[in-house]
Amino acid sequence: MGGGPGGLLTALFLQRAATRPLRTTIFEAGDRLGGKILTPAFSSAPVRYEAGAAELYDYTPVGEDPLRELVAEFGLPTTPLGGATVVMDGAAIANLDDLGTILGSDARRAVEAFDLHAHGTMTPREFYASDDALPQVSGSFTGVLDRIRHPAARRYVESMIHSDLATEPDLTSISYGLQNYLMNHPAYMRLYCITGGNERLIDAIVARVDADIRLATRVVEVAATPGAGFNLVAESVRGTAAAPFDAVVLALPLQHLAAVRFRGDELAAALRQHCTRFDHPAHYLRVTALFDEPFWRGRIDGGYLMLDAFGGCCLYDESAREPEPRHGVLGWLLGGNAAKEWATRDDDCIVAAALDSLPAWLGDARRHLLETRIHRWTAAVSALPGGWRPPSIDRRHQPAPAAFPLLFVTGDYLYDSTLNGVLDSADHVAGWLAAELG
Amino acid sequence: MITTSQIPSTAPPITAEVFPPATRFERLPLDDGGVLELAIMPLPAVNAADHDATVAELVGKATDWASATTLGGDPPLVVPLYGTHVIWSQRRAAVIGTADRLPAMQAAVADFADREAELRDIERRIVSGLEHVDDDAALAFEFDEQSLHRRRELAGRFREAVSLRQRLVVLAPAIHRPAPQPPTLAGQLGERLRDRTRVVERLEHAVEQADLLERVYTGCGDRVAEFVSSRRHATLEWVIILLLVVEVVLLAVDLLATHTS
Repeated sequence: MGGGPGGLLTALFLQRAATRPLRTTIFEAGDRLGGKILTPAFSSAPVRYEAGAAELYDYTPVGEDPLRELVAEFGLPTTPLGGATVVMDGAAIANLDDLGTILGSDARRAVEAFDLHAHGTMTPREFYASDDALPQVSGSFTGVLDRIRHPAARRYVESMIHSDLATEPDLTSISYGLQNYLMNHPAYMRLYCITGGNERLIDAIVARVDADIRLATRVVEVAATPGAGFNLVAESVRGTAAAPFDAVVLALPLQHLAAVRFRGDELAAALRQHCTRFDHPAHYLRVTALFDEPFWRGRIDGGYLMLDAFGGCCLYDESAREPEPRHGVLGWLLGGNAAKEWATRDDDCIVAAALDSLPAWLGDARRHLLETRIHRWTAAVSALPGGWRPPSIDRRHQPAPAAFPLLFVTGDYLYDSTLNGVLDSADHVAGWLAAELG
Repeated sequence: MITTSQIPSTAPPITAEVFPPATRFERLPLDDGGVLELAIMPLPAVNAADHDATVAELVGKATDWASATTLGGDPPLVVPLYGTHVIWSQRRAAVIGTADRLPAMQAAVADFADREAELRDIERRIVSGLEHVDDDAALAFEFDEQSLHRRRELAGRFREAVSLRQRLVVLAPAIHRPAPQPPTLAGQLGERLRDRTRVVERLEHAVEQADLLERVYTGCGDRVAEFVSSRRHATLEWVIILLLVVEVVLLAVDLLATHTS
């Protein structure tokens, strides 16, 4: 259930791991596959942009990276992404030299001290292993940020990580907060995207999955049957239909999972408990603007920069992903409360605020503007709150292992809300399911 | 440090009209024995509207100046980074930025130039070594009497191959060393220069080529040692045979003398 990366990857891995032929059906309520990986095109020019996941994480500096291996196996070209600039009050701070000049030497020392503390708290190996050992430390990330006594230095660090966190520092754990700070260090991980659009990854998976894919078909009810299987009731434009299955993998965002009716007290209670346990919503909002030319050329280095607007947001230069772009594309990634709050406003209001957030030295954006798109990802990811004790990896994927051993859950929210996390989750479920089905 | 009036004679004349008066020039001795001429050009204070044109003009002048030593080869690299510019060629470089950025930029260029010069020197020596590989490779398979006079020459080339490998081993950590974090301007510039000049890829190729040289001349050394050893054994065997023959002759003479007496 679910045609996003979780459902598709589970189907692919299951197909590879199974020792006997399986009949797999993928139900997708929407009219497209890919979920949060979405690379649509503007209507006024044939230019694509990332509307969902903007970047993939490369863990190869530290250890194995199954997602990188999968991308390489599919032969998809990749482009490295990077960016060290934080824009504060209109001034670009790209390094410690800028930091000292613009915010003062005290701020520079404060940032250096915080950086030292962050590195001392989490090594690259611990960072790499943190997906399997979700945060156990009590206290929120705010406690760590409180170590930065210099107000401007603190705002600099907060602006740098806010959009990646997708939540507020007091709503997330120390480990997750530090992860989002340390991810800017190449010894911990690197960022990349798939050249031509991240959705090419979905296309590559779909081309290899041997399954009956039913688009625009929403599963509204799941009921356990006496023969240890499940009966699914699905709605589509053709009407409502029920079908029996041996095993079910729930690969849905949490808010959609909560909307499914689970028949039977035990099943309903198990899923209710699962949803409650992982209900730590975090939010994104993406604003993307198409311009007649990349008027900022040479002024954004490395593919993105951070703005202090919206409590800290990321500004992607999507044109940098192409060698000779004719048009310019800028993408704002808002996170946390700002994303949730702005998502309730109308598009024109959001676009105006986004354009106002650009520093003057970048150029006159309104003069070059052709088209804008807004994508609201409210409660689309998980915040991983401080002190939260997550269940074991097995328990995360099986809401009721004794009563319903062939009912599995997969998703990015079970790990760290990344595509790398959902791949780990899908791999875990597929391996287990293949063993169960013999 | 030298001033505009002390520009080395190899450089085309530089006058105050060509470079802004505040420009300084330095000559940095490099590891390969050469010298890098570095122009340090502070950005003059101009209003925002004229900023881009001023920068473009300075970059153009610095590029022309650096081009004078490339002898029709690759044009100088222009590396823009966070409002600064580095113009880079192997013998001449220029840094353009606000006065407070120039020391960090100068340090980055000096550091990078040393490593790049060392790599370039190694590459040159490897190319020169590879010229002999075609002729010498056969001797890594079979060595004979006619080739004996080339023993010292081959030993010299083996020593050169090992020396190149040793220099690469020393150079590699400096080239692969990650830039400091949190980032500094010098670190970022060093990294950018490293990427644009493809130093990492060049190092990998140099290691492979040096490895080939080492394998060929290690093979030659083995064959020479085998040949010399087998020749020594053959000589020894002939000496033994000769001694045996002498002994047999002496015995025969002795027997004959005994018999006839």
